[in-house]
Amino acid sequence: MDALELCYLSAGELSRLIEKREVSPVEVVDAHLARIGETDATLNSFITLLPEPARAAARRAESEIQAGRYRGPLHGIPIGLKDLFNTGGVRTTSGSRVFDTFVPERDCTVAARFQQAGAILLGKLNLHPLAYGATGENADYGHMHNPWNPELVTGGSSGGSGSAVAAGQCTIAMGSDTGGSVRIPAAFCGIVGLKPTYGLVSRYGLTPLSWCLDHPGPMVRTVADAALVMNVIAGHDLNDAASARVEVPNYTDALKGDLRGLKIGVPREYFEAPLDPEVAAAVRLAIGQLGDLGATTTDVSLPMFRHAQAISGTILMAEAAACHRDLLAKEGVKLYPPVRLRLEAGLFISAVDYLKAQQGRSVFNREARQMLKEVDLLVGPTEPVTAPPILAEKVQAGDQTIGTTAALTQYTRSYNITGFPAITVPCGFSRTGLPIGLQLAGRPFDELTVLRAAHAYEKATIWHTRRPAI
Amino acid sequence: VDELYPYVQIVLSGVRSLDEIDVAGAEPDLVFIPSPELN
Repeated sequence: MDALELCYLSAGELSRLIEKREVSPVEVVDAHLARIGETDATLNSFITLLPEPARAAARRAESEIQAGRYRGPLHGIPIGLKDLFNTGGVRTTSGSRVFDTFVPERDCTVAARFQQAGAILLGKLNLHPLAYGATGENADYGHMHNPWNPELVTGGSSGGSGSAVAAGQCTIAMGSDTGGSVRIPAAFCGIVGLKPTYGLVSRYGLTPLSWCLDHPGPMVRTVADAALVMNVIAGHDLNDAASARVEVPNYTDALKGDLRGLKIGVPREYFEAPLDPEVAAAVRLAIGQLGDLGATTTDVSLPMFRHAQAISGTILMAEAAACHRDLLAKEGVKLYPPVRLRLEAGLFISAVDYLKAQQGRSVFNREARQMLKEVDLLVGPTEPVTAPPILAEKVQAGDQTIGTTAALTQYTRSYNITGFPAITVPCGFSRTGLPIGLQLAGRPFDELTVLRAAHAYEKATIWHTRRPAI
Repeated sequence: VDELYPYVQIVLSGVRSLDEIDVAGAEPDLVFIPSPELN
């Protein structure tokens, strides 16, 4: 098998070869490092690359496996972590030069769980500074570039994670999602991104942006790989005050069922919002295919959707300003100006407005939970548009011109408000060859149903098999 | 300040759209982990 093929195998496929010793983790890591060498000057996915530590870890994995100590499906699999996941002994910049020399002493919980599973860290991935932005721009470490067209954004904030997985630079990446930062770059880069239920995956050791909206999540090329990652990273963590004490199932079990009996709601407000007709058509077609696969799809209404921006925007701006208040006071002048501006503006939001937004969140949650008594899943577009040009301030969505951030977070913010699990899967391409994402969201802690539907859709379609020309 | 002032004005006018939400009887949701039960 040639090196490029290795780089595009799923974690599931790769792990079967590694377990049978048909492929060595050393070969896998070398192939990925070569791929990064060929493509990263264009994409700028990585802030810190760890070639020698990765090769050493691959040799250790090879020895362990040869000695019969195979740890499981992530053993020997190359991964990347968004550079706000603390890694002991490896600098963690949070995408800002302010932290250019910050080296954490300890791994975050997610990194520790990957390491225990035998995954191999190739490097730390680029992000919108402090994860505070939806596009993937970064003046400090260079903007991220979309593998399908490097003149366009990856989406953010986990842009490096999106481009790295889409371009075969790593098999698995982790992102974090406060208003869509896993799902936006996953949709724009044509991969799978899962935002798990709030509290299911530990936030310990991640640079916070909003305590009540932050969710770490996997970014991968197949739904089955998302399940494999969840098997490793999900579960209670004493170090995270908002970690849920819930039973964690085997997520791979989700991949066996079909869609018969499943009720899927299509909020009509999603199609009344600004939306590119080409995206709308691809998503409508995908919803029809879910019906062909046995699900019942029905129109539903989520009137609170129109308030999602005000609710989550207010909470995010206040909490981000609070999270970074000291940083702003001491190092504000060194921050990327648009991010600094957003943080400073957050200082002007009153406690009264913040609490009104949290009241709004209660009402939003009540309505969404009521709806999920009637249907098992909600479906719609992940993004109203395909990836816009880097630094574009506005985008055209159908007949409306709207601010880029407002557009890119239009469909994703709702599930940060509710904390419900939400996944994006590729569901088509524009005439210009850009990926389009379908978003499925489910009941809290019911990742199994979300993964089952996404997997059934993926199996029935070919979108996930396309690769960018880079 | 020249840059901050107009931006703050935009932010605060966005916050004012919270006034359109009827929150009568709703307490702020400060229990961030969603309950697995829908009731």
